[in-house]
Amino acid sequence: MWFNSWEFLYFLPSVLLIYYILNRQAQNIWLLAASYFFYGWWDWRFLSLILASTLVDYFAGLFIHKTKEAKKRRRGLYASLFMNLGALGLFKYFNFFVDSFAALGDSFGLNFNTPAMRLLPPVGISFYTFQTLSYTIDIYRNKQKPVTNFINFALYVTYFPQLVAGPIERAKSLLPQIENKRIVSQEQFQAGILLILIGLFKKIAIADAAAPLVDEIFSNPQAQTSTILLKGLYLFSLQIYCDFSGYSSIARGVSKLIGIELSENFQTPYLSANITDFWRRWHISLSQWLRDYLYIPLGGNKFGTVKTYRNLLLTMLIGGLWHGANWTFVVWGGLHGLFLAAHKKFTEIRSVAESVKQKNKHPFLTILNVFITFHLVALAWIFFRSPDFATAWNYLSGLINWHGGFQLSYLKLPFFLIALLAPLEWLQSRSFDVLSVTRLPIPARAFYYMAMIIAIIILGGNDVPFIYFQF
Amino acid sequence: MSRSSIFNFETLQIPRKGLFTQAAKLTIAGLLLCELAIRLTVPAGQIPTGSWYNHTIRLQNAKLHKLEKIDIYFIGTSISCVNIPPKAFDEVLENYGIKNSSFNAGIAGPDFVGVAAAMKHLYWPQKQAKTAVLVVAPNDLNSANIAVRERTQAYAASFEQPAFAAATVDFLSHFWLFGFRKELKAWPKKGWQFDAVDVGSQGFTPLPNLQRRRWQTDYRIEPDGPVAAALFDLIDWLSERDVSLILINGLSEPAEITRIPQAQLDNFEIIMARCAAQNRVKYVDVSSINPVAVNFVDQLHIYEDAAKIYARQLAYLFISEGVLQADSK
Repeated sequence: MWFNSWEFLYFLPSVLLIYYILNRQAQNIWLLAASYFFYGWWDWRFLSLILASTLVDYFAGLFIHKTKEAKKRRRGLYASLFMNLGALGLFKYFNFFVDSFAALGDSFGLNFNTPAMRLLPPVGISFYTFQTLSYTIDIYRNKQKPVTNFINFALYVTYFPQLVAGPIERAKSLLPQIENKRIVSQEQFQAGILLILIGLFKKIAIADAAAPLVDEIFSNPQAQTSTILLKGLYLFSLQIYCDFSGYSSIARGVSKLIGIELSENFQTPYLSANITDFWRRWHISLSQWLRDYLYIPLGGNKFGTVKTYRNLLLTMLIGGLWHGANWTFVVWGGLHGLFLAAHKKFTEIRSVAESVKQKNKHPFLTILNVFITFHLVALAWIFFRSPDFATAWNYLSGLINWHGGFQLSYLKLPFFLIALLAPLEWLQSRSFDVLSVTRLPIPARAFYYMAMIIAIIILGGNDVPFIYFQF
Repeated sequence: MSRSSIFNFETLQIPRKGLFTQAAKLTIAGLLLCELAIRLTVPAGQIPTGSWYNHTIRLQNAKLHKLEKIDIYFIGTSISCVNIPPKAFDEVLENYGIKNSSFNAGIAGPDFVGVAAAMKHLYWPQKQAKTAVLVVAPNDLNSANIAVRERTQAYAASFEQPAFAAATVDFLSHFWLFGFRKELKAWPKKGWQFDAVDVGSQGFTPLPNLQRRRWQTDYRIEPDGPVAAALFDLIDWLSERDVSLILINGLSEPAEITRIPQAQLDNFEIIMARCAAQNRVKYVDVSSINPVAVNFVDQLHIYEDAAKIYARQLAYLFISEGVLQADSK
């Protein structure tokens, strides 16, 4: 059930109407039932896996907390890791590794009889796996107490607004809200509706408008001129951002209507002045997860320059692989790892040369930095979007070996979509709050709401699924 | 209420007066103004249905809705609905004392997968007929045209929406801002696209643009492919409903036929032969009445006047072949 589907239009009000008249514990049972229904709508068989994961992590959490002996605590953690990473590996990466192994064998002239097991990966498995992993790891690190109420824990794992594409919520932030009484105030309700409106606007008016052209251009990059390839690159950069941040906005809005606050996942990332800043503002919940559960345990920046770069690179490679079982995602992650390492080196040099730091405060340099950062990110998107290396390479070489002249008129659509998005981004960048639109004067606000509603109505109807649901 | 009750009404704390802010009221007023402007601007005779089906199908559907009963359905693509005006066909039958009401359910745009979906999900649930004329040309079974295949997928998917989704779209279409969203979307680029096709009586849809148009397409006609399967399935589906089926070759410009590779033409003949072999299907050879090249607007469609003559000749042919008398009297 997509957030932009007719089903959800009926599902959400039905859930809320009953939710608002129940007491807290009944509310949690109701939300849990609604979440299972929401998830089972794709395929009811997926429920068995999420239920198994919930059970294992619930008991693992209790066991780790109760046990004093370090060895046994570790066993409890391993059980959780085995269950979660095992399921993730089996459903999402088994075929990828088997196929890669076979391809490697082929290149050495060895023909392996690889097992053929085509499993459909459950929707959002990467998201809820990371969320439940953080729970057991935090208990193991004595940073979190386990939940004793199974319903509350099951709701933490399957809470429908963020189940399939995040934000990846930590137990310390989401669980207390599940366990305590909730109140939906007037401000919260209005903010929730506004977030849903903004999310739908980003998804339908911008991401879905870009989608058909992106598909066409990426399906055959050799046949396109360089200007069209550039157009495809800009359009995909817009599409992926508006698709994912639109989803996150709807998720936050829906959750606000329930009385639960979800964390902000995007902070105008394309206005970042460097790549490190970009990762502080793009898919924030994943970046923080990777930092806390991968980068820092690997040693972070504590063991010298070389190991710091290695850790950065490893974290980003795994972050890339997290997105999908394809080497193109690994390369995408690797590129970002290299960019981050390069920026780290540059920052070290720059901190020595104080004069450069002074110059960087000039607004023109900031704009230049934003421009460069955006284009580096956009170039890396080529690997993210391409189905294989051949396509990515054709795309890149089509851009590098510029051909077919430059037609500014071809870039009309990206510029138009940027113009649609710009007021929202500008307002958000000033206060780091997507709801800053509410601070506009009333007529301007009304005009903006109206424009968004009309754009949703007129441009809607494509029913393009959210990109991140596949992860 | 007792303490143990599962009910509690304290979660939502919104004062009644605070439900709509000033900005929300202004937004609603603005939307109502837009709705009013659209209602005042849109010319009469258009049907707002929220881009659920393409406009031609909407208008065809509205025409079908007005008819009391249907005796004969013409089923096919635009090769059916552009080339066979049912009114001219019925007039001839009436001269022979056969009171008949036929409807052309041919739909422009998709291949036979879309045709079958429209018949099953849109036309047939409204009106049933005892006889159907299946109009099939090589182009209708061609799966090489990617654009047509994609369009067909979109058509078929729109027909197969759940009832509640279709009902929602129908309800929302009472707001013209929603109902004409497809036209509004195209408006800045192409101007107001009020039904480029003039759907005449009984589903006939003459081409609006009378300039000759040419296009090139490859041909791939697969007897075991999905398009042919949709045709076979439609025949089975109609046969199960006791419909007598008349199968005829749809029109193609003579030059277009020569352009189709012989192997693909052979495949087309295989499909037609398979259809004709079905119990309730009667194949009628219409090659003797095919219009000459000068009557064609493009490779597949003929001018309105030529279409009227063709429909009359078709009626004469059916009578002379004796295929209509039994069922349609």
